[in-house]
Amino acid sequence: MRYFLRRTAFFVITLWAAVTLNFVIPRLQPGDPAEAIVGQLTGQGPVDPDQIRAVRLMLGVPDTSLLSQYWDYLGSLVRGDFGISYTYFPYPVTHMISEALPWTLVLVGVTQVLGFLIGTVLGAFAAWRRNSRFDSFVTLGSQFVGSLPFFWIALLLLYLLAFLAGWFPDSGGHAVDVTPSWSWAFAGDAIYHGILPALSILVTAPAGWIIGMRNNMVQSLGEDYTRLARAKGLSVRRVALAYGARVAILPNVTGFALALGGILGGTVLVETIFDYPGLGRLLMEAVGARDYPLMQALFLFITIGVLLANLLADFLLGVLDPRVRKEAA
Amino acid sequence: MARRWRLLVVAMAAAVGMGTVSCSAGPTEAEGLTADGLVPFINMGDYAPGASPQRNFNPFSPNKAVVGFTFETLYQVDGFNCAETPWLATAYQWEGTQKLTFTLRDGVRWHDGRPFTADDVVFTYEMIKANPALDLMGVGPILKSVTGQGSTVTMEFNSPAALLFSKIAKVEIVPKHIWESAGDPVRFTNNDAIGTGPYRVKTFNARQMVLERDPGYWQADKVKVKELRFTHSPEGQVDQLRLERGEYDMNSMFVPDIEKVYVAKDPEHNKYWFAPGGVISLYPNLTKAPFDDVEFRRALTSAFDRQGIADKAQFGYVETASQTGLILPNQEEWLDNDFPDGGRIAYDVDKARKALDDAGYEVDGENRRLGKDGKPLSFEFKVPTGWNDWIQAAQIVKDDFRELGIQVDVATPQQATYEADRAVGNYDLLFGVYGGDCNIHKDFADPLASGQSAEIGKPAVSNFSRWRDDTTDQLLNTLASAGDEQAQKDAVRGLQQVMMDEVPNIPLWYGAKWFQYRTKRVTGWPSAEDPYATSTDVLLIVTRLQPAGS
Amino acid sequence: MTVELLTKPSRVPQWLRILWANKKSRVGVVLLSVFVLTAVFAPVLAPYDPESTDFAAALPASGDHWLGTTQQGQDVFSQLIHGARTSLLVGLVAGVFSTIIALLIGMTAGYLRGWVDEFLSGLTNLALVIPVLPLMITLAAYAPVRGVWLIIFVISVTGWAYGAKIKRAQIITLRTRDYVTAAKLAGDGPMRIVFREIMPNMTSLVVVGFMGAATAAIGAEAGLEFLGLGDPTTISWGTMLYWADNGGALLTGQWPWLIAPGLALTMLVTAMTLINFGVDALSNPALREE
Repeated sequence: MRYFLRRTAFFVITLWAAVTLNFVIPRLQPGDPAEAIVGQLTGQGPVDPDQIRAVRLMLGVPDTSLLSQYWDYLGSLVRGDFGISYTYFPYPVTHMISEALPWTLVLVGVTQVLGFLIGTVLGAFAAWRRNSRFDSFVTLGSQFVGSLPFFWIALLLLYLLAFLAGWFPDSGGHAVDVTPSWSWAFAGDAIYHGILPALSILVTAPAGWIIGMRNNMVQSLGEDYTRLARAKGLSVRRVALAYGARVAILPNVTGFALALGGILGGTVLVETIFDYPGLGRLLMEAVGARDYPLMQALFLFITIGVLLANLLADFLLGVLDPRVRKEAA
Repeated sequence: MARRWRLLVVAMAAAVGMGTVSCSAGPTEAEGLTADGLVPFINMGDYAPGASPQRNFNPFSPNKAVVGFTFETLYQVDGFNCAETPWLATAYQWEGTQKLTFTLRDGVRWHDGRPFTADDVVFTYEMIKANPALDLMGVGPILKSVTGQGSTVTMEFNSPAALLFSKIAKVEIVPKHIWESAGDPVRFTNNDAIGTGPYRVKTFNARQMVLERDPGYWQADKVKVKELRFTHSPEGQVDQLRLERGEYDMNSMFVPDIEKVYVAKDPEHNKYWFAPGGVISLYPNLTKAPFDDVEFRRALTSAFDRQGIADKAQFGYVETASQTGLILPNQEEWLDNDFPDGGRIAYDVDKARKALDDAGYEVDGENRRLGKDGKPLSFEFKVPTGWNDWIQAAQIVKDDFRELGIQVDVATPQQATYEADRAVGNYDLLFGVYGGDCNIHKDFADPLASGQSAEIGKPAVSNFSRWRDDTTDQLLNTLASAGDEQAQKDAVRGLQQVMMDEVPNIPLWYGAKWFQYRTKRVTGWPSAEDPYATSTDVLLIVTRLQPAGS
Repeated sequence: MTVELLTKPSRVPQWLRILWANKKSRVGVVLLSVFVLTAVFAPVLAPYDPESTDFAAALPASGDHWLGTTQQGQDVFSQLIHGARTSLLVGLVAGVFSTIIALLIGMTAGYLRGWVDEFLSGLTNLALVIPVLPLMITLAAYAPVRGVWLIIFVISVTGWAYGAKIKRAQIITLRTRDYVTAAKLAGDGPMRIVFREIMPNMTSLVVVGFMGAATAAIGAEAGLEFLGLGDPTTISWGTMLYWADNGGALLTGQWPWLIAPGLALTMLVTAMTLINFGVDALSNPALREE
C-alpha cells in the first residue's frame, strides 16, 4: 500500500513542478504576440501601426509582473479557465483543445496499442526463435524501418499514396463536406483520413518494442530460473510465456507510458505534415504565433496525460512485480 | 466478436464509399451552368486564419474569416490604381478638408431583408470610434463626429483628412439592428454574418466554407457565380499540389518556379499576375558608423545585384526597385522625370569600390575594407527565420558586400525577436518594407518621418532605420496639408530627391502580390493586361467575373 | 565469469573482437566508418562548394550533378556530403552529454536510494513527463539565436531522462545480486562497488544508451531542422529536407533532393543500431554469435 501512496505523492509533486515549468518556459524569451499576429495577417507586406495598436488592445498583452501572472495562472488552472487563445480570439483555449483532443487521442491511442502489441509479439517470437531466419529478418527489418525519420516516412506516404496513387486524402481529419457528428458516415470518413497519419507512426512504432522485448526475453530466457524451469521439465511454451515473456515484459510496461510521450512528439510532425486537426498541429501553431494561453494549456494537457499514464504504469508494475513493492517498503 | 468485425467492415465500406463519392462529385458538378445561367461554383482557397478555422464573421476582428464578400464599404478604392468606385455610397463631397458628406445608395437591403439606412453607417462609425480595438483602419482618432440625415451621412474630422479618404471610406458597414444587442462588439463572433454583400454564408466547418449568392443583392445582375467555395489550406506542398491540380480558381500563394509548376500544367487556363506590392529596401542602422556617413550609403547604391536578387531569390517574379522610393510603374505619375531610368541604379561593383575608396574607406592587405577607425568592417544582417525568399536575398546581399571586402553574417532570429530588435534599433542591416498604399503621404512618412522613429532602445513605429531630417519632415508636412495636386507633386519630388541624394535606405526590389487564377470556369480576373484591381479587391473582382466562354 | 573477463586489462581487443565477430555489428561498423570518413573528407569528396548558388536552379540528376541542384542552384550531392558532418557532430556531442547526465543521475539515484533517489527520481520523472519533442520545439522556438549548438543543447538537456531511468532500474536489480552483496559484506565502499562490480555489467547498457541517445539526437536534429526551428542557412540533412519541402521538390519532380537526405539519415541511424547488436553481445555472452 505504501508503494502506491508514495507513487501518488510523486504524481502530485511532479504535477506541480510540471505546471510551474509550463509557466516558466514560454516566458524565458521576450516576444510580442500582437506583433506576431499582425505579421501573420499581413504576410510580408507592410504592417500598419494602427493595426498593431488595435490587435494589442484586443489581446490585452500582459504587462503585469511575473509573480502576479503566476498567481493568476494557478488560480485560473484551478477554475479550469485557460484563457482566450491569441490566435483564435475570441474563442477560449478550452474550446480549441476540446476540438483537437479527440483526434490526437484516437490517433495516438490506436497507434500506441497496435504498435505495442505487434512489437511485443514479434519481439517475443524473435527471442524464442533466436538466431533463426525469422529473428534476423524481424530484428534487422525493424531496426531499419524503426530508424526511418518519422516525418520523412510521412512525406513519402503522402506523396506516394495520396498524390500519386490517390488512394487516400492528402490532408485533414475529415472530408471537406462532412461536418463532425456522431454518425457512421463521419466515423468512416474520419478513419479513412486517419489511415495515412496512423501508418506513418505505425511504420516506426513497433520497432522499439520488438528490440526491447527481444533483448529482454533473450536475457530472461538465459536466467537461472528459466533454465531451472526447463530442467524441471516444464513445457517449452509454458517456460516461454510464464518465465521468459512475463519477466521480459516488465520493462516494456514502464516503457509503454514513456513511449506515449514519444508518440505524442511524433504526432506533432505527422499532424503538421498531414494537416491533421489534433493537439500536435495546434501546438506547432501556438508556438509559431506565441499564443501563450494556448501553448500553456496544450503543454499541460499533454504533460498531465503522460503523467497519468506513468502513474498507471507504476501501479501496474507494482501489481505485476512484487519485488518493486518490497523495495519500497 | 463476429459482430464487431461486421461493424468495422461497414465502417470501412462507408469510408471507401465516401472517398469515391467526394472524389467523383467535384468535377462533374462543375460542368456547364445552372438553370439560371450561373457558374455553379468556384474555389478561392483559404478562408480563415489558423490551422483550425473557427466561425468568426466579425469584420473588425484580427482573426476573422473571409468577410469581404459579405460586408461592404461606402467606397471601393482599388489597391493597384487607387481608383475610387462608388459602392454603398453613390457620391461624396468635401467641404473644406475637414468635413465630408456621403450620399447613400437606395434600395440596398441586409441579408435578412431589413433596409440599409444612414443609421447603420452612423452606428458603425460611432462603434469603431468608441472601441479602438475594432478600429483596424485607424479612423477613430481623426473622426470628430458622424451624423446621418435621410440618405446622407456627414463626417467631421479633427484635422485635414482629404489624403485619408481611402481609409475613411473602407470601413465595413454592419447592421445596427444586430450589433446593438450583440454585447461586447470586440468579442462578438457574428456567426450569422448578416451583411449587404453579394454572398451569404451557407456552410462552415474546419475544412471548408461555402458562400452562396444572395439573389436580393443590389447589383445581383453582375454576380455570375452561384457558390464560392473556400478550402482550408494546409502548409507547404499539399496546398501547392492542389493548385497544380487546378483545384483553385483563384489563390494567393508563393510558388517556386511557377511557369513549370503551375502554368505548364494547363497553359490555356492557368495564369498568374504578380503585381508589385511594396518597396523592399535595405535598411542600414543609421545611428551606427559607417551608415551614418552619406558617402558610404551613396557608394552602396550601386553595389547590389538587384537583378540577381529578383531572378534567384524571387524566381524572376519581381522588378528591381527605384532609389526614389516610388513603386514603378504604379506610381509613375509622381515620378520626377529628371532621374535617369526612373531612378533605378545599375549594378556596378567597380563604381561602388571607387566610391568607397574616395570616401576614405580603404582596403588592407587581406582585401578587407576598413572603417574610419581602421578596423575591418563587418555587419550582421537580420532576417526572420522561415522567410526563405528573404533569406536567399540576404545571402546575395552578403555576397555583394564580400565583393567590396566587407564581411556580412546573415542571422535568422525568430520573427518576434526580429521584430523586437527592429523596433528598438538593435541591428546593423535588415530588409524593410514600405509603400504600396493608396496614400502617397503614408508611403513616404512610414520609412522617413521623424515621428515614426524613436531613440535607440525605444520602439520605433515604422521608421526603423531612424532617419531624422528636418527637410524631410517639412516636405511631409507640406504634402499632408497640400491643397492642390501640383503642391502635392512638388512635395513628393522633394522627397524623391532626399531618397536619391541622402540615401536613407536602399530600395532593392518590389515585393510581389502573389495571385494565381484559372480561366476554366470563369474569366474576368484582374491581370497585367487588365489591371483594374489587385487580388485583394474581392468585391470589384466578383462583380466582374463571367462564365468562361461567354 | 563475464565480470572478470570484462574488467581485465585485455578488455579493448576483446571488445573489438566481439564486435567484429558479430555479423550485424560488423556491417554497422563499416557503414559508420563510411559516414565518418565522408564527414572528415567532405571538402575533398564534394564536387562543388555546397553553398555556391552558381548553377542553374532545379536541375534534374545528371552527370554533372548526380542528385540535381536545389531551387537556389546549389549542388544537392555536395550538400549531402557536407550534411554528414552536422549529423555526426550532433549525434556525438549530444549523445555524450546526455549519456553522462543519465549515468550520473541514474547511478547515483539507483545505488544510494533514500532521499537522494527520491529527489533524483523526481527530477527524472519530471524530465520524462514533459514530452520531449514539444519541449524541444518550444525551447528552440524561443531561443533568440538559432544554430547547431542550440539544437545540441536542447537535445542534451531534454534527452537524458530515459537513459537515467533505465540505468537506475538496472542498478536496482543489480545491487541485490549475490556478488554485490558479497562485495558489500567484504567491506567495499559504494564507489568501488558501483564502478568495479556493477558498471561492468552495465557496459552494454551504457553503450546502448549512448547509441540510443546519439541516434535520437540525430533524428531530433533533423526533425527540428525540418520544422524550420534550426538555422536554415547551415548545411545539414534536416535543412536539406526543409528546403526541399519548402522549395516544392516533389512538385518540380526533384525526387533525389528529398529522398537522398532521408535515406542518408536512415543509413546512418541503421549503422548505429546495428553496432548495438554487437554491443549487446559484449555483456551478454548468450547473445554472441558463434
